[in-house]
Amino acid sequence: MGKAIVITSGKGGVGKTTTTANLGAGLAALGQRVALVDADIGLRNLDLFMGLENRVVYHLVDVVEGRTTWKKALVRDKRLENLVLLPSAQARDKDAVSPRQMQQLVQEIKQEYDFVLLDCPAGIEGGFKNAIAGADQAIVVVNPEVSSVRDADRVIGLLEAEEIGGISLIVNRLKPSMVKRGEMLAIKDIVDLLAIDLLGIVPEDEGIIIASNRGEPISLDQNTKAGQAFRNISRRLLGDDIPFIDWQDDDSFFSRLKKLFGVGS
Amino acid sequence: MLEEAVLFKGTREGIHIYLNDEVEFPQVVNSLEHRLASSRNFFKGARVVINTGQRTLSAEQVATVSSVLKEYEGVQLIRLEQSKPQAPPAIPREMTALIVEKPVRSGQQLYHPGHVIVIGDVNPGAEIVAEGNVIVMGALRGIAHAGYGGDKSAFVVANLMSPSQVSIAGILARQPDDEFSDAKMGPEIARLRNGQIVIEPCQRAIYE
Repeated sequence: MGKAIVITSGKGGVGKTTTTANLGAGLAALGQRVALVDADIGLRNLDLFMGLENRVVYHLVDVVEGRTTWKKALVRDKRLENLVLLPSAQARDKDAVSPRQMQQLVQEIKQEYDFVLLDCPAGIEGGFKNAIAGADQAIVVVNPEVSSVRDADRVIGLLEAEEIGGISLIVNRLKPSMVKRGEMLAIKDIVDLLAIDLLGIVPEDEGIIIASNRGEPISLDQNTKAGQAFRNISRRLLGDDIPFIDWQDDDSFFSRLKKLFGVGS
Repeated sequence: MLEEAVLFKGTREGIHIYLNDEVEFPQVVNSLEHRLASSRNFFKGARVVINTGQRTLSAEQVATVSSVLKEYEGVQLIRLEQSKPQAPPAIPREMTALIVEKPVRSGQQLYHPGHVIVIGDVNPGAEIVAEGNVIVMGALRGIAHAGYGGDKSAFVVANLMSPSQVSIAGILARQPDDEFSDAKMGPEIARLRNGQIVIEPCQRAIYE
């Protein structure tokens, strides 16, 4: 039986859906059977990130209300055949399903997939409770900002209260140059405060916006920093020991030139 | 505590006469007669309420008091009352300690009618309220309230003291707005001195 992992953050706009799409593609590219579940009912986005919008026929609420089976509602990815998506409903809201129904659904999907990734809505109300109901583990996505870290702390407290097993952290949108200037929270300070395991660090990358708009997960793109980061996280989820890339390491042309000549650090 | 055997107090209802319950009854009666006699005119036609303090008068004693009053023309005893029994002095109770073995996170509130010991951090947005002391074996960045019931000797100790607010027995101090950096490392103690919260290193506080 597979593992159900909820991707959550408390605060909106920190990259939950991006993370879900990219880890899903990353794990599937490593040969895992992966089901993505868009638990953000009413604000259906995950299908856009995956470029699968036109293929959506049934959604999560249809399954819960018995209009179809979960297997029929799944949308198969166009790139990876072992990756599927259970889309959310756009015209309904979070009250259309209950935590108990979600739990049951996730339990059934887990029987046939190695990973069930649940994309959680922002906030800590009903939608959040639905999304975490069936989860065995949680990934908390945080941006290196005070408000994001504060909300993540609150969410971790709620996850702990629900006795969700492994809770790990992804720091998303790190701007190495700002950290260097001391204008952004350092990774160490975030991890110290939240006191959970660090799963990965994803640097800010304009390519993510381009990739999302095109509906192509960036983790499948070999030439981007963010894609590399998501691939590394996917491998860590499988238990591989991958060292963290030091994104603070300046990678500009000038610094590479300096390195070449053995000047500087 | 009344020092005199008898005390007069004017109220809208009339004159309240307090009979000191710590003085022997005959002496009280004596003093009452004496005081009435010395201001005979004042009591003419007065409405009088007798308060016997904690003492319960016997029928005989009531008769004695009213016979004293009857000697004065027009004095009218409207009521005989007894003060409410005072609560016995509070015996300081043994305080228990609540030990929390994980970080206290934003949005979590914790109340305990004794001491609270946190093995971990108290994060910003978290709140600890204890009737006793608060001890944080980690960084205190949230809100701590020690001596919640009013115990002014309560204190807050943290390995890294950087609370957004700290209160002791209802007296509050908050982090200065211009203090961006974290507090210095090393345990510090917050407690009341002359009605103000003072934060200082633990060592100094112990040796003083």
